[in-house]
Parts: sequence; structure tokens; C-alpha cells
Amino acid sequence: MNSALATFCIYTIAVFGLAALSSRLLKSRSFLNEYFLGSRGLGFWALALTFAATSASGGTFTGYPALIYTHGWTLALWIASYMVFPICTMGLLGKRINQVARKTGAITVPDILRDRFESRSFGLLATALLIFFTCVNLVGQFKAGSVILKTLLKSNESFVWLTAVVADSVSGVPWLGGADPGYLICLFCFGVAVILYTTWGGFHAVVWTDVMQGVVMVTGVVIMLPLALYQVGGMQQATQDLAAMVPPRQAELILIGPADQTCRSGTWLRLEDRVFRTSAALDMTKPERKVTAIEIVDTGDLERIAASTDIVFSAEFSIEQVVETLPAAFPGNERPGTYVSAPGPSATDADGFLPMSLAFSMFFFWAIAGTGQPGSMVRLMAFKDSKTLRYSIATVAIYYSLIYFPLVIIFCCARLLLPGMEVEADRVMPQMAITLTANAGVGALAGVLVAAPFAAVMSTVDSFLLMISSSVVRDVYQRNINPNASEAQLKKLSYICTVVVGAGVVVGAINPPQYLQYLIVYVGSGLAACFLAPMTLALYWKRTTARGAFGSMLIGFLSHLSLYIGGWLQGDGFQKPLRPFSLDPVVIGLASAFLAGIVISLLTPPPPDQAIVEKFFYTRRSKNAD
Amino acid sequence: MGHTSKAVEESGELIPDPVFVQSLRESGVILLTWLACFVWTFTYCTRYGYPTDVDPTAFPTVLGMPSWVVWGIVLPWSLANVVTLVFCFGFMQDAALEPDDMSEQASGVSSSADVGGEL
Repeated sequence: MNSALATFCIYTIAVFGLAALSSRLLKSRSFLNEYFLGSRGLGFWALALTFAATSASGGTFTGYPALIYTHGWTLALWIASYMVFPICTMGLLGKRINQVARKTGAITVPDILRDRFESRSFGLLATALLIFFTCVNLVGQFKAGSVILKTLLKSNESFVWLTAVVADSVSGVPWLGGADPGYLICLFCFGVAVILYTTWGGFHAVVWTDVMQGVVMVTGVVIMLPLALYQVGGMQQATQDLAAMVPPRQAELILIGPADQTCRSGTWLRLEDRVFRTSAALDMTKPERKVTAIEIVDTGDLERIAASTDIVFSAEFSIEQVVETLPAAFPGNERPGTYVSAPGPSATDADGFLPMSLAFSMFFFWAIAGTGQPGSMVRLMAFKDSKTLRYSIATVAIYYSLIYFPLVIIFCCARLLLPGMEVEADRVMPQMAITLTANAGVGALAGVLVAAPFAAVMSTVDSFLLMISSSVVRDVYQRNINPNASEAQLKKLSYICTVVVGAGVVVGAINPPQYLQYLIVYVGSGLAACFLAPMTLALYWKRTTARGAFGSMLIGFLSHLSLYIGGWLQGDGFQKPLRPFSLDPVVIGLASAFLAGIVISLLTPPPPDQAIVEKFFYTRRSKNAD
Repeated sequence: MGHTSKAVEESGELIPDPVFVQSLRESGVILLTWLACFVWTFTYCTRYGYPTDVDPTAFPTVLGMPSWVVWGIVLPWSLANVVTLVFCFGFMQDAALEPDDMSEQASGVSSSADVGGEL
């Protein structure tokens, strides 16, 4: 076992230790309140780090680095609204949602909406949407966790042997056969670990592991930053080199090689002095021997490739013919400077990666849409008092500043250290961790660095798993099917739900989509379009009616989804939804949801039960008031 | 409030929930902060971050980073952190979040678990 793997194993054991401690707490307290909400007793470190770690998902350490690597410094503008993310996402709703949850005894987000509007059907709609989006997100998160684990294990002899065994076993099996066997093993291990500790320890296990994971994440970034800067010759040198860089070309190749083998995605090929890397696998048993690839055309990259000892050109496969080679869609003329300026290069979009209209939408998306995430709302229902909230907002602000901007610097440096990673961009973070530590002669540190993205994935997955099972147990079973369920029944169902949902997501993640970040953006914006408007109106506008809130959620969901379906029908796939007026679907979804909520509420009779309005918006003046 | 006797006289009177009122006011300040950051970053970056042509040998940098990133993102980010700290420790008020009437709050299972009203 190498030292990186040993470090990583220690981390995993610590996670299980925390789950065991949490499990002991469960025995002495009310099960539902403790299992799903930690008895509303989170202190400020716990709230700050669980909030930060849950928000920083696999996207932060997998998809986001992939985008920085692919598009350069423009990602600083893409992520810029994280400067106000903590104050917006925790401050806008925090105090009020916590108070209302205490008033009603709510444990879940649908719980609050249902009690506020006294509507069972609204509660069920909220639950259904929550489960749908969260499951989709979990697929992406499980993929991220497995990819990271695979990177760490790939040189381990036992793992290589096991991969060969699994490859033989699953060959020809529908659904499993098309997947990478190494990825399958990692997916299984990751899934079992997360499901076990989440089921075992409940909310407290999730929060405590989040705290540890939060520390691991920031430690990872803080270690990587100086290593990356040192290895590229400093910030000034890195920016100068990036300014001169041009993006790779998109190519199609016809290959020759052994007829019984598969040419893997990521294979390096040379044709005279031209350098290519395949971006898809090619089964040589099939008559079609055409494969997509990138051609490295940047002279700096070509020099780095020539000097690299890690990059090995294929001896089995060679290029018979270059069918086509095209420059990136932006900049079409292959001019330098696109990696250090906006909108950033794009292989497919002639407007570049981040046109101004999209930059506007993203500033809106992170800070405002982030407020509408139910995963964050649940944490805001669980803190101890308002002082805890104040200290936590300040802590998260500093914490995010130490993570999100430094990641831009680190992965701009990655462009100079790891050429050709466009074909497997989601793997750039773990690869960078291994490269940096190997170059610095401190391989053991790779375990800590790889644990950082793994921690980010785990902290999101465990929270989401718990959110789904709480929705099923509390919002569906207890509140609609069996209100008199005993604690033992609820406990059993909670455990079963967490395991079943986790297992289902593992199956769904066997053949996942390529770009994780697009999935994260879809789910994040969809949840915001569904939940932000109804929750804000429920907490801050007493005239909101049940029909208004219901309509707001439904129209938010449908308007957002229809833009993605529209993009798909146009043949642009899931990555390019329709953008009316050049605005992202989240802006359209949120605007529609707020508008619908306000208009429908005004068109329908005021809330009939005055006691409900009084309960949520008024209080009795104390007899001892001064 | 300074009107003790009057308050006692009005005991039991319904008043707007102070947490609701405070939260509404604080939300206004937060949205203004967001807007200020948005205007700064968006205006500066769209003006200087989208050049039509870049000369790699004379690319403007500050602290080694592209200058448009430093002035358009790093600087407002730093100031936003200062505003956040001032907001948390100088403006945001503490409030009692527990309901006055503890009977309103069920422990774990809400008293309104059997609520079944429809739209």
C-alpha cells in the first residue's frame, strides 16, 4: 500500500469513528428530531463547516477545476458572486426559517411549507420535487467520488488485479458491460462507505464528518496553492505562459492497431511531429475505426509534452489518417490570450465560454439561487441560536475565500503542468494532487490532497441521502400514511430508506454523464427555481396563499425544465438549455416563480385562517415589556 | 421602549413578530450588498475583461494575476468580506428564536401532523 493510500484510509476510518459516536447519541434522544436535525443544537463551528462543506459539493473539486482547466481565468468571473454567497445564503432566510421551524416543530423543508399553508398536497409536491432533484444530483456526486478514488488506486497492484477480474466478470453484461471496471469497483466501495456511515449515525454523523471534511478541504487547497505556484515558476510566469497559450484543436482520426483490442480514451498518439490525444474509446473489432481526439497545437504544450516522462505515446495504436482537425469554436482564429481573459475558449460555442449575458446570470445564480437550496435550508433549521448564525456567516465568508479563488489559481497552473487533460477534465483535481506531491517529493501528501475533493463529495452525498430519507419518512409516511407510527417503526423505515436510496443511486451512477458540473448546475438551478420563491414568500409575505405558493413552485419547476427540454430538442443536448434574452434558465425560473406566487396570491382570496397568519407573523406583547 | 406602564396596559396585544421585522430589514441590507458587488464586478469585468485582442508579451498584470481579475474580482471580494464581518458583528441583531409558548412546539413530531387541509 502506498503512503497516499494509507493517509486516505486513515481519513476514512476517522469518518466511521465519528459515525459510531453519533450513533450513541441517537440512543438517548427523540429519534426523528435527532436523526434528521441533530435536535436543533448546532454550535457555530458545526454550522459553519457543515454549511460550507455541504454547499461545496463534488462540483467544487471535480467539475469546477475541470472548467478552470478548460477555460482559464474567466472562471474567476464565473464564480465571482461567491464573494457574497455566505451572507446571502445564510443571512436572507437563516434567522427566520429557524424560528418558523421551531414554531411548527418542522424537521424538513416540505414540513415548513405544509404547515405554513396547511396544505397536504403542497407538502407532497415539495417532497416529490426535492426527491427528484436530489437523486439526480446524487448520481453526479457518486460519479465524482468514484473518479477520485480510482485516481488514487489506479497504480495499486491489488486494484489492478481486481480490475482485471471485474472486467472479465462484467464483460457482455447489459448496463455493467459498458462501464470502466475500475470505476465500477470504486463506485461500489464509495457507495457502501457513504451509505453505511450515514445510515448508522444520522444527522450528527453527517455534521461531524462535515466538520472534519471542511477542515480537510481547506487544508488541501492551502497546501496545493504554494506547490502549484512554485512548480510553474510563480504567478507572473504562469500568467505570461497562459497568455501565450492557444487551445487544442478538435480532431477526428482513423486508427490502426491490434484488431482484438480497444484503444482507450486518453491514449497519446503521434503522427510525425503532430501530437494527438483520443477523447473517446475505440473498439477495434468494429469496422468503424474513426475516433475523436484533440490535437495539441500550442508550442509551449508541445515542449512540455516532449520533456515529460509521464506521457507515454501508444506503441500498439497509430494514426492511419487525420480525417479532420478544427480550431476551437472560440477563438476561431487561434489567437493567444483567451486563457487569461473573458469569455474564455470554448470548443463548441462561438461566443466563448462565458459571454457577458451568462456572466450576469452566474452572478445571480450562485448567491441568489444558492439561497434556495433545501440542503442549506435544513442546516439553517438546525442551529442553536442567532449568535451562532452570526458567527457562522463570518466564518463561512473567510472559509470560502480560502477555497474558491485559490482554486482558480491552482487549476490555471494545472494547464501548464498537465497538458491534454481536456479529454478527461473531471479527473484534473486528483491528477494535479498526485503530480504536485510527486514533483515535490512528498507523495504521502497526495492522500490529504485527494481526500479534500473526496471529503467535498462525501459531505454533500451524506446530507442529500439524509434529506431524501427524511422526506420519505417524515413527509410521505408519517404525515400522510401513518401519523401514529411508533418511534421504532420510523427508525426502521429511516434506515431502510437511506440504504435503498443510496443503492438506487449507485445503480444510476454506473453509466453517468461526462461533465459533472453541468449536472450540478441543472440541479442547483432547478431546486432554486422550485423552492426559493415559495419559501421566501412563506416567510416574509403574509398575504401569500396556498394556491399562490403551490403555483409558484410548479411554474418555477416547469419554466426551468422546459428550457432544458427545449435545448435538448434543438439537438444541443443537456449542456445547452435555451436562453431567452441570453439569460440562464435559473433567472427565468426564479422570475417566473416569484411572479406566479405574487400574482396567484393576489388573485385568490386571502388566507382564510387568521390564526395561521398570527402564528407566523405576530407575537403577543409580553406583560413585562419595557 | 420607555413606556412601561402603557406596555403593561397593552399586555396581550398583537405586535409584528420582532424576528420577522429584524430579518426583513437585514435582508434588505444583504440584497443591497449583493447589488453593489454585482454592479462593481460586472461593470469592471465587462469593460476590461473582454479584450478584443491580447498581446501576450504586454499583458497587464497585478501581483502576477490578470489586472482585470484583481480590480474587478479580488478587490470587491476582499471588501465584501469586510462588509460581511461588519454586518455580522455590528448590524445583525440577536433574537430569541424559541417560540414563547412552548406548547406550540412539538418535540420531533409536530402537533400539526394530522393537518390535512387542501388547496
